[in-house]
Amino acid sequence: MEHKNRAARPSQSGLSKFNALLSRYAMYVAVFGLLCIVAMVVYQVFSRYVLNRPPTWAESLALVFILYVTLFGAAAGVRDAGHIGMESLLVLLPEKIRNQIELLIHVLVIAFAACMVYNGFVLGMQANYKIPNLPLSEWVRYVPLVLGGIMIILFSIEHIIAAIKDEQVIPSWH
Amino acid sequence: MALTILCLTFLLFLILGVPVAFAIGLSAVCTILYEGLPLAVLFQQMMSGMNIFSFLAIPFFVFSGELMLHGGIADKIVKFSESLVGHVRGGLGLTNVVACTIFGGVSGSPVADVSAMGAVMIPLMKDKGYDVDYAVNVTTHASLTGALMPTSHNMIIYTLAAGGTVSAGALIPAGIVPAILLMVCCLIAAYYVAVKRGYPVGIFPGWNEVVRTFIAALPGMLVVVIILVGILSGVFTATESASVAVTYSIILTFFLYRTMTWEKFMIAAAKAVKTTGVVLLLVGVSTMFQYLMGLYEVAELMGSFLKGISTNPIVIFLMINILLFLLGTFMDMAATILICTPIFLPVAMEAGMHPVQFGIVILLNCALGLNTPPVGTTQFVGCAIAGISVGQVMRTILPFYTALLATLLLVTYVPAFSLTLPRLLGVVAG
Repeated sequence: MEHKNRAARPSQSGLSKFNALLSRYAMYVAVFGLLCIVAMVVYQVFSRYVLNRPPTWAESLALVFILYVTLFGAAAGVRDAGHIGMESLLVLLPEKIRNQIELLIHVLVIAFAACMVYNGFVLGMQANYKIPNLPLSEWVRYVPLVLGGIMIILFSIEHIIAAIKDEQVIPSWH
Repeated sequence: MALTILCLTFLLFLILGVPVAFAIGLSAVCTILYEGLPLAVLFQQMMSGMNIFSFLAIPFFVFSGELMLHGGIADKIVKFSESLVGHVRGGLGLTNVVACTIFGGVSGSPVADVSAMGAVMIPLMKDKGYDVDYAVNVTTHASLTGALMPTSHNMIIYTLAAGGTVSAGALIPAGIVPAILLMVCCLIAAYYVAVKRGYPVGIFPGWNEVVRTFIAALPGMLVVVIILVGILSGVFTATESASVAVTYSIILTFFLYRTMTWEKFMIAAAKAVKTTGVVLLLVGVSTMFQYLMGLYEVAELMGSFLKGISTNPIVIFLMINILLFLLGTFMDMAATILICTPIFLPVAMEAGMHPVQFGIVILLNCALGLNTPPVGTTQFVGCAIAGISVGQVMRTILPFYTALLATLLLVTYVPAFSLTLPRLLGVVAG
């Protein structure tokens, strides 16, 4: 979805500066989360064989963490154009139409992200019961859906602005 | 009508170039809106689809593959492979195939494999006077073995998509023989082209060198052994063995090989997070899609459509292969597996194919797609490393494509390739 060959200036808008920080910190959080998940599962194996007392919380907590890792990672993927789409058919079209389709793609991604935010919010508000084995309420599962959705919207808007101004979004992670 | 909307919107979004995960999600949203059902149900499906413990093996396998990729293990594997087959005609091509197979086992991912091996082998082969298109084709095809290896996260994706008919413990050993078969076919193709183009012959460095390089590469290769033994002995589940693989990769690259730096570690971890985001988001939205496909009985429709053409299993398997190949060229691997498995697995099983064997068939089909435009991820990475166009590579792809097709047909029509090892190990009945 990103045309790398466009000889464009890096995007310098305020939103771009904010998003660069946002995606960087979201990625730090997600990397930390992934390391925690690895540690939790390893600890589960360790305590089963060595301590003979498998923890009940490790599996449940790992499953909460993975949602944050996934949706933050997916959002960062939107900013850095990491999601795989097809562009070969569009190469045949004239550049003007191609640019418009590129904008349309970003709008469609925003539409889905908006559904994520809204429904994540609705589901989270209804989920007031407790997660088994954890002192946490079920709504913590829906927070990443809302946050990830908001980030995807921000990143897509950044891409739209950059495309209109013929600029390029510089990925915060390669 | 609802089904038509689902399929048409999906195809439309895909052709427009909307990233696959969003194309799937949006088409599901459009269908639900048409049906007048609450959207929240769909997103609940999505979240519960991503939230299953055995799925954690996916980020773990991706992470350990990235660690191996950035941890400098590639060089050691190349040296070992070169000492083994480097002296034969076109030795670097054969070295490349063997090295890709071994690193495929270590990383479990064709893309990580082609990134690691391509970065080492393609410049080396250029230096030694091999043609660039040959170097790329050898690397991109041999690296496909990664998808069939015990560390492959795509295998976990298949066990998810198969909805409980296949266990990871049964599928993981099933991939090994087909992976070796693919390696042999690639070796034959690489040798054939080498002879035709008159590539140079090397000198055998002696068995001492083979043993020395083997010992240097061994700790990296051990990760496959840990996973296999852990799962087969019942000590670990697939997820747990994957977490142990990550821990082992960290210890190995930081403390034993000492090739890992914090900077590289962060790059590997960030890449793993991004891939996890892409793949698990796909898993989530595919749960939406599968929910709708189940509602509209797509599998039954496809089944009766295929049986309407022929009831001969040979023809049915061929049609499934062709359809899988076509879909696989337009979507990336995870999406193809997630969407096609629930549609084609029931038909294939009815025609007499074991679900474990079907898993290997679908993985091989997706592997073909990885080397075919328009969405040929592995091929694209290989070309990017070598700095040549996909078109140049496609011109001389035929011998390698034949190797891949031969493997696919053998695995499709000879169940023994995929089922013998799991049967011997007692993880598949019969």
